[in-house]
Amino acid sequence: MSKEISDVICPGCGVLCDDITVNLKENVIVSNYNACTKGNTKFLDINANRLLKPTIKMNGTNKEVDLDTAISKTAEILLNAESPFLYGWSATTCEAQRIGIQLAKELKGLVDSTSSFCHGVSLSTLLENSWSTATLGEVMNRADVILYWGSNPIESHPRHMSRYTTVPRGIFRQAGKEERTVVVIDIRKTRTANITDRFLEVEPNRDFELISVLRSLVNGDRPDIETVANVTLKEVNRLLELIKEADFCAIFFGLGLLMSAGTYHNVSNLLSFVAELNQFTKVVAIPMIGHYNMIGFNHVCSWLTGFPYGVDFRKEYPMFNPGETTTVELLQQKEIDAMLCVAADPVSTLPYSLTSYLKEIPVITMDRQMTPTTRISKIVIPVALSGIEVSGTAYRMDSVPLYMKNIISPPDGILSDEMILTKLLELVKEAK
Amino acid sequence: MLEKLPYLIELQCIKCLSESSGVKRMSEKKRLNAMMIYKLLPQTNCRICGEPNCMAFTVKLLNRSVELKQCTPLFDEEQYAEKAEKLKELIAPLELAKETGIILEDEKCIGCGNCVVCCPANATVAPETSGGKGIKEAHPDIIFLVEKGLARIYKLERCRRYEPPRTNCRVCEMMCPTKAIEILQ
Repeated sequence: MSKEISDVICPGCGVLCDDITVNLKENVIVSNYNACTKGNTKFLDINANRLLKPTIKMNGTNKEVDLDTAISKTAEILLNAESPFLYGWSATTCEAQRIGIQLAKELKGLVDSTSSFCHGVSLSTLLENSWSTATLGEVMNRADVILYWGSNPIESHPRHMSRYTTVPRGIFRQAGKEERTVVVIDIRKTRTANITDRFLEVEPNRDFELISVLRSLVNGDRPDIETVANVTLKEVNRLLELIKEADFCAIFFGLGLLMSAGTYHNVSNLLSFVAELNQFTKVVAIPMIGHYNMIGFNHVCSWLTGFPYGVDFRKEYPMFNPGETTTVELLQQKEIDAMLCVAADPVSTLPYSLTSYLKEIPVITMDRQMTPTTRISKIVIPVALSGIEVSGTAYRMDSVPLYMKNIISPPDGILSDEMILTKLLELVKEAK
Repeated sequence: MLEKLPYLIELQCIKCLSESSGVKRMSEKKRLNAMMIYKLLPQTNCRICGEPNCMAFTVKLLNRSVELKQCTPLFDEEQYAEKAEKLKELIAPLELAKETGIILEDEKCIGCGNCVVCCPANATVAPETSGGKGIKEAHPDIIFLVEKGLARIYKLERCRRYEPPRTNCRVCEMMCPTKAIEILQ
């Protein structure tokens, strides 16, 4: 029996496109409309390399066990550890994240998401700056100048430009692209720059200087230089005039800005620049979030503990110190002695010098498919894919919460992250 | 480096979760123009093909109103054999072209949907597409639609280049970031 479901939310990236139409044939997704190549892979290749049975590694071989055994063994490992570390969370629902943070609190352990070495860092600059922001819908309806700084949406978020920023016609932008000026600032000419009006090629690692010159120009100074970061002062002035004369300017900053020299200081400087520009016109800054619910973890963790990521409960109260309680430093200092990895693949994303330590400690992984992390894990618990097999809340890149539907049911015996974490939390509470 | 990663090299390639997964990179081709074809023709203006000169034949070849085999000297005379081979290779994409000369290459498409949203004729059929929103179901008169992660051309007869007054609209080609859409004439 075939069925068509419309307005499905795609868990492919931070744009969370909410207009996907999915065709089902007896609980199998056969085709979809409107999803990009990236989202299409999520829908159609849902069963690729799928894990179906929980396993425990014994004497070097993986032995299949039942779910209750795997969960009780996980609880045992986490309870016996002095510094259990709960990592991941960027590709699961807010409901699961909430229980995960409660679990870290009960275990007196640490909790951190992938955002500690990604866009979560730009959230911590909120502590230093004000943040002028808007939703993507406002950008679509009002923005006449769009600036992409250090991000390449055509390859990272393929539908970002067509769904919200550049091409669509909005309420106050009835001519669509013709009424907008799109600028790309990057270290090389990306595919995004192929269809934009202007492109500024900035020298790698010198974004901070460019932002500083822009700030000094906004404040009325006349710097005695001809070029900055390989961009002529004339071009910088032209860019500034363009933004100042705009009705509504949206600046999207990506990891190119965050991961070059200066790291979060670049973002901090950019946000100060945006705040200063607001004396002339409305300017907003939005981070280009990669994982579909990465910013969701920052919100959930903020309202539960007061801090956006990297929270340490070992002293029975939440403590946040980036550079001490964050993933990279914890692995570097070998401070943790057990790790629960939910909806993340640290072995693929982190350098070998850090992940080599994971072979020395018990790692428990909850994932949908086989990844390099599941290969080194002591316990592997298969889960359902949030957003397609499980309903739940996720935050879009502009911090708008959206409720994702479950469109198909997971394979027999496979539970959601939330259900497994709830069982784990109950066992931990009982043991105490 | 690989020696240090024993648990990685054992694995076959599994779907990488990086930002750029699913995005294909292809080298970009040079656009086909009349001079590229003209240079490879005999340039004798012999009129065997029925056209007044070789340039006129070139233009009609580009419009697909004549066929290359009508230029008989190119195939009969040995001195042009090499040029004939090159020319065959050069105009091969023309055979893929639909009525209005649009080529949509799946290999390059990333399904961004820019063509769906910017197409003015699409907006007359399904107004929601002009606001960035995808359509709920395949409309019989839609031109562009993203299906299974790739853009598809459905009803090309609705294109402004095809319907009278046949405007020279190239907006889909201009907005395609990967140059997957090419309009040949």
